[in-house]
Amino acid sequence: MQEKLLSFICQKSQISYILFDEDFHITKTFLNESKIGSDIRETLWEIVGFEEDILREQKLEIPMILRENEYYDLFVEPFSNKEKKLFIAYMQQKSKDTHSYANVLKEINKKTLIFDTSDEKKESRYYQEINKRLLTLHVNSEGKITKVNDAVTYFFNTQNSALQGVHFSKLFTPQSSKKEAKSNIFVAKNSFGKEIFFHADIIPLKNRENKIVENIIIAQDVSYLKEIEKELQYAQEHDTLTGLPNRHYLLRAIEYREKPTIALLDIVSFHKVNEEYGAHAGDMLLKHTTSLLQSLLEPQDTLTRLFGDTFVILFESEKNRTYIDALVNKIKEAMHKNPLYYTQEDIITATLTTVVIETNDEPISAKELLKNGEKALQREKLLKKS
Amino acid sequence: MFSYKIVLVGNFGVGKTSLIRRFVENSFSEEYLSTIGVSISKKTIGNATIMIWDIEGHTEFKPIFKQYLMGAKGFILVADLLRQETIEALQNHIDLCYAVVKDAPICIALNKCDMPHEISQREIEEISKLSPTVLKVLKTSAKENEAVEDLFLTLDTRIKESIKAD
Repeated sequence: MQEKLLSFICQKSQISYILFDEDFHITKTFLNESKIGSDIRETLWEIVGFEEDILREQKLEIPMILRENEYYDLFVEPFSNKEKKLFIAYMQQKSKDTHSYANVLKEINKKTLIFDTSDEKKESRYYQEINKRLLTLHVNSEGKITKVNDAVTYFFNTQNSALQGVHFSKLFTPQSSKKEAKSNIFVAKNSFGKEIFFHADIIPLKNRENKIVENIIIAQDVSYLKEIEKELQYAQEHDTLTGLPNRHYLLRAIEYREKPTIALLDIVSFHKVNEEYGAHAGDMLLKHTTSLLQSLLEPQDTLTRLFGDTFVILFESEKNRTYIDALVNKIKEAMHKNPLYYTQEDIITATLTTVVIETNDEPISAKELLKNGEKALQREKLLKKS
Repeated sequence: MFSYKIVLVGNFGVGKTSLIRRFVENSFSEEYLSTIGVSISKKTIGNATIMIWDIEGHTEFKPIFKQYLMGAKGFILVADLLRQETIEALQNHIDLCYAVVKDAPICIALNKCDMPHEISQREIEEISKLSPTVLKVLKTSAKENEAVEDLFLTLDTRIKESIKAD
């Protein structure tokens, strides 16, 4: 009776059904009677993989299955029968509207695919990639942030909302310390506290009255340029042989001192070492002298190689003359006690000519101070010779 | 004889239907007709019949329907070598597959390799590390029948081994 009723309802609602048992054998079907007794999985491939769920009496629902150009939804659930545990699989055919809907989707997908592989899409993708690396901020006329892109929130590791209303200068500070100098280079600290240098382009947005209503700031990370700049500055201000700061550095360093005191040291008869043992021995002696001097100086004092065999020590401002004279003597003694063992047979002992130049209350330029020092050293050398 | 189910997952237009058609019927069509809903094909290999589910691809507006993935013994994830976003979407597809079937074996097809493309060996290695259950990452071409059989058979072998072990 129940099965007859089922047949009637299904016919009325255009539903096809199959009854099957726990062994997945068909017991009744709308299909050919010869299918009875066969495995339902040979007819309904959709059931494969769901066997355990079906036996656990879980309802199964698979929508929009396409077979032979027809769409249907499949439902599988237990079917109450007093004699035997059965299951029913019923398929509800989709309406013609579903076909129309599917065709529209197919058309959309087709057009999207054509666009996705077009040059236009590739170009927009490149722009997106560039934008990911550029920090973009919208700033109102008061300098407060109104909008940022994802690159900004990522950089500061914060939410978009947390940056709204924040003044631009709270996040980005101009690199130039001189107020009059207008610089497009800004520094901002990223979420790890590291200072990153940005080149910022400011694009003003004007209204119809030609009044600036908003600025768009596009900031590009130029830290690598700063690194190059640092390396170039280091190379410009250091001696390649000894690694010591050179004349350029010394002149800049002297300018920072209020009352600078310098000591000039010259290796006596250095040219003779070069002539007798070769240039390599000369270089070794310069390196040897450098490490000896470095070992005797305090970290606050600056050792530089002025040129050739002439070294300059720039003392910390508070060092008095007694201390400096004592140190110079200590250096001379150390030079004497620690010759350069160039080879087992060639032991080079060097002595130094030294002068100390102090400054008084009268202002003197770094160049002048150094010039005075060089003259005094020259005099001292002549005196030694005579 | 026994049967098992596998599902091909990927963005729309990556060539899932073409790979299945090449494997099952050894044919190819240049015309693109996207799959809406699901279509099931079957192929017998040795003592097993594979039910291959060709499901509607993921689009910006329509996610993949989880119900289609249930009951699968393994997955073939497909990406289009000419569309970077389909490669970037692989991780999401893996996550989705695992959310439905935990630790299922996966083969990845980087399809349309017959077309000029830019992918380095290092990128392919990175893709293979997306999940420990990725068996193989293959550059495939349904059009030129390149590595298609290898793709399906690699997965078939692993699934049969795991069924035997059970």
